[in-house]
Amino acid sequence: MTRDDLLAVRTAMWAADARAALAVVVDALKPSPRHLADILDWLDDITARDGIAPRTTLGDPELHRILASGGSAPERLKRWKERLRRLRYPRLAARERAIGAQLRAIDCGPSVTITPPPALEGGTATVTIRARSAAELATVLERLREHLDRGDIARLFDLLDEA
Amino acid sequence: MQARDATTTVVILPEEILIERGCEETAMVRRCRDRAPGVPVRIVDDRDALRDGDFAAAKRRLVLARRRGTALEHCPAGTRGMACCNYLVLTFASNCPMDCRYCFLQEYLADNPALTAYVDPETALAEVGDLLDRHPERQFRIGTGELADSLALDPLTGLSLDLVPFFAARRNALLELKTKTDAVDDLVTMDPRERVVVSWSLAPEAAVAIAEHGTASVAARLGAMRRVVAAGYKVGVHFDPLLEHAGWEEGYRDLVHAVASAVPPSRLAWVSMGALRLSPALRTVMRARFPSTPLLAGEQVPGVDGKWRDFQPLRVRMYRTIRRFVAEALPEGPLYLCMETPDVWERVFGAPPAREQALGAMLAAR
Repeated sequence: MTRDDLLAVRTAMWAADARAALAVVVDALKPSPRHLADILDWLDDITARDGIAPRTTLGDPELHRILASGGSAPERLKRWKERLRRLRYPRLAARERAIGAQLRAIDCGPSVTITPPPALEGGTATVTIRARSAAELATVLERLREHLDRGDIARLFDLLDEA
Repeated sequence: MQARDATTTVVILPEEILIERGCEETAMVRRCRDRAPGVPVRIVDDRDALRDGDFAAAKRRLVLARRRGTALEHCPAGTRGMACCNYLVLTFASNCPMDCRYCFLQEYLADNPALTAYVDPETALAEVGDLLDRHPERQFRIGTGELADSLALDPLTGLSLDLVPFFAARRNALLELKTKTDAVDDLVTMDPRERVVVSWSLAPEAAVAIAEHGTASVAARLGAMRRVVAAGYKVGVHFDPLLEHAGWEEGYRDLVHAVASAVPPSRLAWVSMGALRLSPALRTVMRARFPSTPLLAGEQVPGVDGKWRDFQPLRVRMYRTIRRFVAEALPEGPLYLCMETPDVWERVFGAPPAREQALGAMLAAR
């Protein structure tokens, strides 16, 4: 389905001002049909869940700010969609932000990367350690041990466990 | 055993009965015609001509036809990455007269939605008999509620009158009849001899109103539970799908306690929990059929099997909450998860799931 087909089918029942607001977004960000389908799904889902009409959601000040900001269309689309995703998935997004904050608190330097599972599904964090020598590895492990002893890493796994 | 007293609240009469030519004299067809004398009947030569059509309209027209192909299959829950309880499904019907918003049949049967009851249960039962005879050392759990509600058509077809005596005479199989109805009028006239479990899929009434259109009320299902318990059946309970809605914790707590009031501990076979799970194709169908359903607006993400469920920390919370209610009110009931990952099992129960044979045997021994 093309972008125009999608818009025609999915917004046929929308109010004219909502269609106009979305047209501004589509014109500025030029989403692919796949991205546009996500956007339409999320707007409809917010309406079904919260009773908030698409026009109201599209009026979110942060969405407007991103739309008016500098940067390429694909880069703005990425940020704009992420903002809409946060509105669509408020608890998941809040949990992801809390995990991000916890990961920043466990800063072991560039030698260690801790990656939570995508969409928090699976519950397993991936820990990558890069080292060029035994001494470097020992230093990294010592830093990780300090975070373990302080409970920082346990707090991270708590965030992955239950909402 | 009780007399057949027709207290079922949800008897779904089709607008028309279509009989495949050659099936007119089968016992099931005669029973259907006797039990629905006011419903128009038509003989059809080509049932394949009924394949297309509107899904909702197809639910209002009952086709009586012979089954093609095998009736007994392994439960599809044992898909990649999911813990499995080694369950077999036996198909006597296709599609369902009720219209749950989340039902996978909307997508699974989209190309062939005709509500069909198979008029030759003896063929399927012969298939089951062969299997049971070949493996007398094994205990089988077999359910009929996969492609249709086990009892929704029973007021018309009287299928349970064939199934219960068959399984009651077997030593190495347990039949599970899974339903959202209260259609137990025929069941209560028979002695299951501990070989039949009648299971209800349950959700709080508020969730039923949102998601389970055309089903019996929770009160009616609980009333039917009491009736089958009095008739000698064991009862299974499936909190599946778990539906998050405003007040879900209180709703499920009250529901678990209501089940405890209806079913004595010794008559409870098992309790399961399963998250709402929607394939991408099912989401598309739901969006087209029920665009304003709140079921699509949960915080669902795709899992290892491609199905969308509430994100893991949220559903772990739901499982643990309901596990706590079950531990309080139904401590005798073995509790398991349906279509969940070993990781979630471990988080909910503190241990990974038993191997599928062990889990299946444990449940079959109930």
